[in-house]
This record gives sequence, structure tokens and C-alpha cells, in this order.
Amino acid sequence: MNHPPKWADRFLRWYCKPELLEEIQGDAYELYFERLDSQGKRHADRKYIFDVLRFCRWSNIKKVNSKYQSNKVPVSMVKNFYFTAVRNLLRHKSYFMINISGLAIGIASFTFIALYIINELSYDRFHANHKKTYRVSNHAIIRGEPNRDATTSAPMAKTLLARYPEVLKATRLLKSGPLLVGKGGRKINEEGVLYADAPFFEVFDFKLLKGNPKTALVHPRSMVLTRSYANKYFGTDDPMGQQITVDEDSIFYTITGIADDIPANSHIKFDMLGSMSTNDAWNSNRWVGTSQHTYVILNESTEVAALEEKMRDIFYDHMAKEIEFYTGLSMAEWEGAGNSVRFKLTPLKDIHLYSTSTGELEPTGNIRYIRIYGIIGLIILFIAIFNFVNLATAHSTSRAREVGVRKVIGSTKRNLVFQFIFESVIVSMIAMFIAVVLVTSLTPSFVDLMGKGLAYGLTSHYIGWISIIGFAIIVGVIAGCYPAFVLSAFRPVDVLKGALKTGAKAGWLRNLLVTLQFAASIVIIIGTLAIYHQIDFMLTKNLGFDKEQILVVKRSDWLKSPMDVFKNDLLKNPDIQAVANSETIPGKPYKIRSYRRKDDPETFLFLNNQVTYDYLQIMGLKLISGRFFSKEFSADSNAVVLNESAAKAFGWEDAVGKTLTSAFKKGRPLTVIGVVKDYNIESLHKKVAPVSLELAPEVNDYLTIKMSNSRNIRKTVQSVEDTWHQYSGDKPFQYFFFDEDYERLYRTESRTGRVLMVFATLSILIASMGLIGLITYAASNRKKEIGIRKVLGASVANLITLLSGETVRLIVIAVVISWPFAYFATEYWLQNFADRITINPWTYLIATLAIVLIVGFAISFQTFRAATGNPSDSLRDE
Amino acid sequence: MNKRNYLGEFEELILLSVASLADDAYGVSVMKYINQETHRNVNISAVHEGLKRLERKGFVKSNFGGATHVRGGRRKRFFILTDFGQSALEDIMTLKLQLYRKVPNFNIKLT
Repeated sequence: MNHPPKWADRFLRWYCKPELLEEIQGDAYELYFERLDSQGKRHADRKYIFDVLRFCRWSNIKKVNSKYQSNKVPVSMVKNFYFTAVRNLLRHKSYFMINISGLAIGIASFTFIALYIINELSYDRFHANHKKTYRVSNHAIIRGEPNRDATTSAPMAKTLLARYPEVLKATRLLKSGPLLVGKGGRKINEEGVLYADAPFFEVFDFKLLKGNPKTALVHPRSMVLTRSYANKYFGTDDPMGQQITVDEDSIFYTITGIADDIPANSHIKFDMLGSMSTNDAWNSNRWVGTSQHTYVILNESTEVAALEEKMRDIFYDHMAKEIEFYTGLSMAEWEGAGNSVRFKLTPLKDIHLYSTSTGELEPTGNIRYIRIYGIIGLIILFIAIFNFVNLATAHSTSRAREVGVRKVIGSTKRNLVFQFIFESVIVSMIAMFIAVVLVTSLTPSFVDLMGKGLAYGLTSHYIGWISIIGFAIIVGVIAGCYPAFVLSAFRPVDVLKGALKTGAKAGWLRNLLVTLQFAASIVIIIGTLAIYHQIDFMLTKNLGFDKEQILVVKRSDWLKSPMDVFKNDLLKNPDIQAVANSETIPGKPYKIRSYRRKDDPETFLFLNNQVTYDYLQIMGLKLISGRFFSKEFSADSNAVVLNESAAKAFGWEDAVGKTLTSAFKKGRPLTVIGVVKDYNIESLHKKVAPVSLELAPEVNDYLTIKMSNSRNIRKTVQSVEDTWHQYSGDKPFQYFFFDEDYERLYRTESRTGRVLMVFATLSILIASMGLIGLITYAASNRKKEIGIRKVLGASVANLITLLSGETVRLIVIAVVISWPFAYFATEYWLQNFADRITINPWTYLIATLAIVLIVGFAISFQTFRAATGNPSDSLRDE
Repeated sequence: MNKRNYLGEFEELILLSVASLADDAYGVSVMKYINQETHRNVNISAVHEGLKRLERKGFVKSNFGGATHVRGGRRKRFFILTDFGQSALEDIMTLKLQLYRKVPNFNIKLT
């Protein structure tokens, strides 16, 4: 029979005021049948839909709370829902356990990631002026390569204040290396002091508990301590006006203030804050060479881009002259060689997540990794929610009779939907409670995993509690929605007659969700493996130098006797093979030097290292031609060793014996005596750069000690330390292992790898738990079928295939879906690297195999138990 | 003149249609009548809206008729003019004529 579109009719009935419905529907029908005769069904349908939509006017729409319907759920009914829910949970304990624990783990993971992301996104926003505060960055281009530096020259702050009225306030920061701090004979090796100009507390909102923020940092050798450091040095005494020594026993600083401890979401962190006026060298007028961080507060109406443009003048008026002096080039020549310097204003709130500059006060975050973490958090949460949906719909038959009876007694569909959503909110509340316990107790491990403190705890603030409860309700509603509609749609006649098939209605959805869960898990696993392979590749790749068994000692300038005496003393230890000094080492910043070929004005800029004789041996560099610096050649102070890239840059087949000049050596001729094979001095994010090595027997920045074996490392380090104290007059001994330090170049990557590993494991765990729940339930539903099959001669293998066949099919589909996603995700990430792996197809197979094994293991127990059961047990009760 | 006599142009049209349709004025018939007489394409929901407003203002009143076959058994709501509606129409007519006659050089043949 011809009938207007059902959904449109249903829609009309849904919105229309009951007292108007008969008339409206009547007229609409009359027109419909007329059009049906004259214009055909399609036309009539379309017109009918149009009419229904046009009738949807304010005056025709049902009003909520109109007296024609009741949607209020009485309190007594809520009480009944609550008891039904609890009884039901207690009756199906294993189902309940799987549901709750899956949800709890999912919510806890999500909460951790959310706390981390909130911490990252809230960086530096606690300063009242954070929108107007900028950090001046030094954006240089050196031989065509961009080089961004977070530090600027000492006179930058005062020049900005004097030249531009837009700049309201300015302060500089300088971070010292480790220092010995003493009080009353007790000395502690501190990580360092942060030095700041007097307006520090006007620019930033760090709270001063004691002392005057305006004057605390005015006088030389003033010191502000944080609350915990004041406690560390002075205990319960009042530290104000007292003195501590820094670095030398004779250098006294006066305590002028106590600051509150620095929150975790500040990129400026300090325990001890000294006054910048302490050292005249920090307040020099030298423009070349940058070491201080300059922060400014700008007038609200300032056009930042326009100000940056104006700041080019500072470069030409001040810095350019010094560059001309030191390089011996005119500004036009220098810029012609592909060099330039610009000053940029980086917004304070963007420093942590968006800065790509070197020399930041603390390692920066990365918005891309934040996004990756966010996506993973959501994936895990949804895997857990899918579990809930799946188990609830699978179990729907166990509630069917209750639904039937409730409906017969007069419950409306709306009430039933409310009941089931209410139940799932109860479950998610319990899960949330467990998650809160998990989060609170596991926070230290998480902080350790992320390598980062969290500014916001979960339960430290009432907003935390409110969001926990709100979140539990949201999760409960999302998870409970679909099952609630499935359950409440049961028709009492079918249910009570027993004509209902086992949860068949939602079968396709369940399969879809299981497939999605495993597809997501496989993508995460492949991603994790890819990251591990790339990190492994970067650390084991032949970098062109050895990094094993090398101990690096810092600040050898503290040694009081000549370097050679100290070195010879060290070499008496048979475990020490060689000792060298150098200005820098791979993985640390390099300086830049300019070179010209003889009689050729073209300038080349190379990264430069100043080294001593044994550097080649210690680093294990390979000579391609020529020789390295040697004590036998006194002219080696005017010699240069290049790497292949540098020789290639000059266009020389054989560079040995060629002559160069360098402005740093005042134009004296320098002879190239050797060429070494290219080696990676930076991380593999970047290509190999041209490098020059020059001899500097007096250099003392990094002392590198090659150990001859890896057996007595602890003992060797101890003996080096003893020798150090003997020669340095008890200065702090600071050392690190070269390989460990070099690995820190990949700190973000290794951390992401570890984090992903943890969350990949959790996602598989949760997904498998859901699968176990489903299989257990399916097996118990098919108990009789299995019994009969067994009696008729089915083998255990047959039965296992029968029970797990569908799951295997789903996994196969998940694999097909996940591989392309995994491919694009890993390709996207690997683009970060100049030197990268191509993903081996085995990675995909291994990840998939891992999933299949885990799933197989998870379901085998249940299927095996069902398949080996005695048929007489399952068939007897009838 | 009573304030409630103000009628919109469309309302007036509906009111006139109800008056002319006499015993057979309900949603669909009014709509068809207007479509046919004015060649305007009026949607049924607009007619309902107008009828509801007229009823609220007291120009028309309505009753349900008997069950029908064409409409899936649903009853029609028939509208008839109230006395007030009748006098309103007359008032409007008089007013309009009065105004038309005052228009200079404007000859309208009034039958």
C-alpha cells in the first residue's frame, strides 16, 4: 500500500503538539494521496516531506513540560534503578570485573595524558602579562643554514629600552653552570644559579614571599632563594640578610628575598636567583657572542612584525661593525656569502611548544608530540568504551526479560533508556574511582616516564573533582547510549515468549567495534616499532667517530697546574688510553669560522673545533689523506684538518698541502695537512656539515678521556676524580659519558618510544580483555550446541575453530585496515629525520603476529575450556 | 473601530476564503481556493497558521467533522465565520471603499 515516508511521519508525530496532530496530519495525508494520483509517488513523497518540515513551526511544536506528556523520573524509580543495577553487577561478577577494569585503565591512561597535555599547554600562562611578553631571539643565517638562538647579546635589553618607546620593560637572564655553594663550612655542588636583571619581578609574576621585588636584584651579589632552598640552607632560621658563598670561598652573596617554588609549567626554573649586576662582563657592550636571554614587555598596541622590522637597525648600527672587525669582511661581502642576522620576538607563551631555537633555558616541548599523545589517549579511552558497548549489547539477553516485564507493567521507553544509561554511569563512576586511585598512586612513575613534573594534580583542586565527576558522567553516557537503545527497544511480546535471538541485533556493530579496537592497536604497535627501529638506527649507525668508553670532564680550566702535568698523571693509570682536550665535542654546539682559498675572495664558513694532539685517536676519526696534528711539526699551529664535506666545498680533489686564510688567524696562511672522513657532529635530524679542526694545545673546555677497556669503569672514574681533586683544589668534579650524552640528542624520540610502548601495551590489554569477555559469553551461550556437536563426534580442534573463527576473521579485517594507516603515520613521523630508515615489511608482520598471538592466547583458555568440557555436564540439565 | 479588527493581508484573504467556502472550509480546501483564485502558491502550513491566528482573534470558530476515508480516517476541522468575523469583513470593505473614492483621477468600477 502507498504510504508517505515513514520517517517523516514519525518526525511529525514526534514534534507536533498532540492536540494539533489530527488536523495537520489529516490535511497532509489528503494532499499526499491527491498528489499520489496526479503526480506519482516520488513527487508526492517529496512534497509530503516538505510539508512536514514546513509544519515544524514554533506554534506546532510540543513544549517540554507540556501537560500532555510526562518525562519526569520519580525519585523512587531512581532508587529502584540503582538497586537493579547493583544486583545485576553482583550477579555477573566476571563481566562486571572486565568492564570496570577495562574502563578504569582506559580512563586512568586518558587522565594521565590529559594532565600532561594540560601541563604543556598551560606553560608560562600564569604571568599576568604573558600576552604582552616576548623573548628576543637571534635568527641568523650562516652559510645559507638557518641558525636560531634563544640568547642575544648583552647590550640588547638596554638598547631596546632606549630606542623604542613600545618596549615598556626588559630583563635579561643568564644561566650559570654547576657551582659550589657554601654556608658555614658546608659546601654543596649546585646545578647552577640563574642571574637576572633588577626588573625581573616586574616582568614575571614569580611570587616573592619575603623581600622587596623592586630592589631584591639591584645590588651586586644579591641572591633570591626559593622557599625549599631557603629551607635547605637555613632551615628554620630567617635567611634574609644572611650570606652564602658561591664558587669561591671568598665570594659572598647576600640573601635579599625568598620566592615561592617555581611551578612545573614555567620554562624559567630556578632555585637560586642572583643579580646580573654581579659581574661586569655580563653588562658589557659587546654584540658578537650571545649568552643572555632577553625578555621584554611591549605596549599593548604594538605591531610586533613592524617592531621586528625596525629592530634590523640595531643589527646594522651595532652588531654589523663588530662582525666586520672580526671576520675582516665588509657587510656586503658577509651578506653576499649567504649570511644574515635578524632579531625576532617570540611570544612568551609559544616558547615552550613552538620554539625551534637552540640555547633554551630548558628543553622545549613539541606540539606534534602533544598531538600524537592526545590521539593515543583518545584511542585508549575509546577502546575501553567499545568494550563496554560490546559487552553490554552481548549481555542484553540477560536483561531482556526484565525489560519485557517493566514494559508490561507500564514503563515507557524513555524510562528504560534512562535506566540503562543510569546504570552505565554507575559503572563508569566506579571505574573512575578506581582510575583516580590508579592515577594518584602511579603519578611518580608517570612523571618518571615523561621526564616531567606536572603542574596540576588530579585531586589538588576542586576543578579537578568537578571534571572527574563530569567526565565519568560523559563516559557513562557515551558508553551506555547504544546499549540503552538496544535494550529498551525489545518488544515485550517477543521477549516474554522467548523468541529473542542472542544479542543478534547488534552483531554487526560489535564486529565493527572489535575490528576498530584491533586496527588501532596494530597501528600503535607498528608506530612504536618504527620509532624503536629509527632510534636504534641512529644510535648504532656508523657516525664516523667512536663514542664508547669515553669519559668527558667539564671545566678543566679550574685545574691549577698545567694541563700536561695533569694529563701525564692520568695516563699513569693503565686503564686510561689517551687524554685530549677540545673546545667542543659532537652533540654540543660548534662555533663558526670563515675561510678563504689563497688568492680567492670567496668566503666559506665551516663549523670549527679547537683540539689537541690526541683528539683524532680518542674520537676514532678516520684519516682519508694527509696526517693529523703532531708535536713533531712545530708549524702545526698554522695547520688545518678538514672533513670531506669541507674539502668538497672548496672543490678540491686532494686538499692536502693547499693553503687557506682565516680572519680568526688574522689572515695568516694556513696549510691543510689532512682530510678526515665525514662524521655526524649533530643529530641525524640534520645532514653532515663541513667541519674544520685547528690545533689549540691550551684549549680546556672539554677534557676527553678514552678508557682502554670497559671492565673497571667505576674504578677508573674514581681515580680520575681523585686526580682531579688533587689538581683543582676541590672544585666540583663534573663528568659524563660521551655515548650517554650523545644519546640525549634523541631524548624526545626515546621518550616518545617508551611512552608509546606503555600505551600500546595498555591498549592491547584492554582490547584483549574485551575479547575475552565476548568469547566467554559466546561460549556459555553455545554450551548446549557444543555439547551436542561433541556427542555427534566433533573434535576439540573443530570446536576451537568454530568458537574463534569469527574473531580470526575480524582480526584479518583489522590488519587490512590498519596497515595503510600505520604506513602513513610512520612516514609522517620519519620525515623529521635527514637520515632515516625505510620501514621493513617485517615490522608490519611482526606487529600483526604479536597481536594475533596475544589474542590467541587470550581467547584460547576460554575456547579450550569450552571445547574440552564434558558434554554430559552441559546437556544433563534438560 | 475595535482594535482587533486589524487584519493582515494574508489573514484577510483566508477570512474571505472561509466566508466564500461556507460549510466546506478546512485547511486543504482553503489552500486550494486561494491557489485557484489568486494563482499564488500557498503552502498548507501557512494556511494552518493563518486559520489558527484568526480563530485566536475570534474571527472564525471551528468544529471537527465526521471521520473520512481519504485522510486515513482522520477528521477534518471545519471553520466558519463568527458574527464578529462577518462584521469585520464588512468594516474593512466599507473602509476600503471610503478610501478608494477619495483617490483623485482614479476610477474604479465598482459593481
